[in-house]
Amino acid sequence: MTEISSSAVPMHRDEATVLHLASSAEVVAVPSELDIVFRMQPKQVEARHRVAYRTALVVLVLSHFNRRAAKLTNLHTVMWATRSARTRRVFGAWWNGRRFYNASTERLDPDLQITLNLAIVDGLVAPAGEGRRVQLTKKGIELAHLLDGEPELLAIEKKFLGALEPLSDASMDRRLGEVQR
Amino acid sequence: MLRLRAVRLRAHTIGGRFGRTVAFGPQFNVLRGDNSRGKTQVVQAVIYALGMERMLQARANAPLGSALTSEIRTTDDEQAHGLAVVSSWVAVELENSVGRITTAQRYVRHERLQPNIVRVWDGPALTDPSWAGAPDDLFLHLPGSASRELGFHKLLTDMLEWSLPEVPTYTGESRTLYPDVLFPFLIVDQQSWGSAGPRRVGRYQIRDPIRRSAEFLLSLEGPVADRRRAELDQTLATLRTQWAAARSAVDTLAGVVGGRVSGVPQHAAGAQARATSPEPTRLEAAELQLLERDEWLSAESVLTPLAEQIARAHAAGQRHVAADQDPETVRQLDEARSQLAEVAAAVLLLEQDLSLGEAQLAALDRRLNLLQEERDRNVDIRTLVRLGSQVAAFHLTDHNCPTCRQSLDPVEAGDLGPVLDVDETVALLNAQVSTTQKMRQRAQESVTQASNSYAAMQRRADQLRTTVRAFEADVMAPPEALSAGDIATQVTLQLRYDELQRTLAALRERFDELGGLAQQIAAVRAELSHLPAGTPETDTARLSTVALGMRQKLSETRFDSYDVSAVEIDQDSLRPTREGYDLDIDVSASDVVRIKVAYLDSIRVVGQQHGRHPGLLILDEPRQQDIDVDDFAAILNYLASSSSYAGQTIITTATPREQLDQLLPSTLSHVIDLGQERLLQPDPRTDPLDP
Repeated sequence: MTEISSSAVPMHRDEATVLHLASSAEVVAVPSELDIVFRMQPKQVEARHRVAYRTALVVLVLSHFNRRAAKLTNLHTVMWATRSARTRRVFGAWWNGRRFYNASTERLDPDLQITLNLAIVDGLVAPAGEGRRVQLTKKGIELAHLLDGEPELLAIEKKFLGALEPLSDASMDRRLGEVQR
Repeated sequence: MLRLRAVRLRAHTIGGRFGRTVAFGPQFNVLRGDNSRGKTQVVQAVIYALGMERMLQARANAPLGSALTSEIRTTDDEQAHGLAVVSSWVAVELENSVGRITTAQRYVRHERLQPNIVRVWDGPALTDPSWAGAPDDLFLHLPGSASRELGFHKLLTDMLEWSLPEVPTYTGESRTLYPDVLFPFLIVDQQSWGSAGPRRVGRYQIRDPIRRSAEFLLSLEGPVADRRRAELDQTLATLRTQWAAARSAVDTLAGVVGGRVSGVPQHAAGAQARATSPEPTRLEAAELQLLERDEWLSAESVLTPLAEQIARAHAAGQRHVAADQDPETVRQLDEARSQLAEVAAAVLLLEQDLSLGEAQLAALDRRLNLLQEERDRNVDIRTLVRLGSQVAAFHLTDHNCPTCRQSLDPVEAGDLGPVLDVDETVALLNAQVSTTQKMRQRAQESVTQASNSYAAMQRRADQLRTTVRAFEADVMAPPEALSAGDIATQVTLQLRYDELQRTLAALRERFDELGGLAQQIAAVRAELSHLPAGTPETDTARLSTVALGMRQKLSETRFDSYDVSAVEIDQDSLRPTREGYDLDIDVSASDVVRIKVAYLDSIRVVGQQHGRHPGLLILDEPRQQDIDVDDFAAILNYLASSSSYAGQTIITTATPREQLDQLLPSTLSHVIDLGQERLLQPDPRTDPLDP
């Protein structure tokens, strides 16, 4: 095995050999005694898949709606809109009337249903309007006040939702032009 | 030395108060109880009360069971029902080597007291109720909890007389070796018996956390030199960056006047890894050179004739235009046009470079915004968990499904496989933000340099255009008019002279700066080459003692997967190893337990004698892998023997009492028997530690 010069942080000898082989210009046979181990590294879960973030976002979005209630279809679209800078920009353009006449403005948030289920069981949100709408409960309103009390918390989402006011099922139908919602 | 004197668990439910206090002896303790009675809860309570739950990677939340987090099952009139938990806490009473006793209490669930607050009494508040006066509130799991006076882990490390070292991370920086990275050597939880080594705590991005912990607990000397080497390497990296920046500035200055710098090497002597003890780079020969008639000449040798040209031009005054296209004027015009064409081509290339650089900068800005937004969201999640507890939104706090009480981890992770928890994600995103910021900084420097060169070339092109226009005017001018070309030449020469003087002054300052950096780089390299190489003899001897002790204990427990002499301490990871095999999968499950206990006890014995090991060893159900009764007796024997001089041992087991009495060494053991009782029993008294 080729000797590798020592570095500041002592490496595992096999790690050093692998690095040496990788940086070598020549094509050489891998030493038979080399012990290469593959380990599964933990992956990163995006914050928008985290239950705590999603539940808080549902509460925040509903708190911006008139009477703190929204149709499920509208909730899906707004939850989708908060996802990234790009979706916020696209939704902002629709909201301000900059879209093709035939552009579909309905979007789905695949994780919304399970988030709502958890929020309903925990008493933050309650179904309304024969199950087609959801509204914040007293506990949900209390959490929304706590979210508002921390200006740094969900700052980008709050700024985005604040720019949409007045937000209601009616304003969404009017602005996004899909009365069949 | 650290000794656990007692642990208490309390829960207030809608149906009354429940609790249990378990007191431990100073040496060898066995906590016995039937299955599912709560032995593991006692160990988990110790982990939680000490703020060490982050060593259990699989779960970032409170590691305690439902009896302390949601409901207590109880049987009334032969009818089982659950009592919802309103608040709950756990507390431990600790004693160190100088007899200082401290009690730490941490709430699992409370409407006001957050889990990151630890209430501390400077006395035996569990075993002597008269001590339960006003506690100090210390914080946990926030920046500074291991370094600030009000941090609980600072208090704990003070009790242990630990001065936590800085250790290298995967990102090349260094960070404190936190207590929760070290504690897997002291506490073995029930889920970690699948591996022969201690739990590997990866959350802090520390490189080789097990090795660093073993080095610290055994007080090995090699790491001191390694740490100094890492520090010096870090300093060298910074100096190299400064050298590169100063050299880049020098090149830019030279580029502005269309010159180059010679005598300043790409790397200073000693900056490269192969260098030994070099002389510092000398910069006496460093100079600005300019291209004159296809030859690079020093700026000084260009300045003298330039000054003479200016003097001659002034002395000659302005000549008059000669009639009929003077050949000299035409030659000068052609030469100026040719130069202008060359400069225009160079400007075009520079413009392309600049556009590419700016596009890269914009892409990096977008990436940076994305990463920062994701990091902020993850940081927000910590706050959201706290707010969730204030409104009793329990699935935010305990991360369990409110209906079935199962963990919500699979809901978040989907089919991703193992995932990072929120804190690990924040650490990863911080590292990515830092890397992207550095890339952006470099891209910005490159764009700035290209922009400077672009501006200089544009200026040169403007000067040449002025000269061309002046000579064109001369060619077309009526005879006897003053020569515009001569006037333009005089002005251009004077501007060039002044510009060169200014650049030379600026370069002299930069050369001084580079000289200082060269001295520092050589000094750092000299210290690096004098650091001892290899493993010091004392370290080798200490590790040999650990290996010897481990093999001896293995022999006593009839380790039979292969020859005991094949089990070694790996010199790279400092974990138990057999050359060429993975011990975690290559031996039977019961042999993994045998190796693990023998290894941890050997580290404990050697670390207690020569190092910083506090002597405490807590083992939760080592017998779960069906170790033979005789071998279990051997394990109990050597642990009891070690406890008599190396520190306290607490071991939990479900072994029947009669059998246990036969296995235990007679005089050395303190048995706490829960029998068939559940751990938490009705206890209507008001506890002095309740707030």
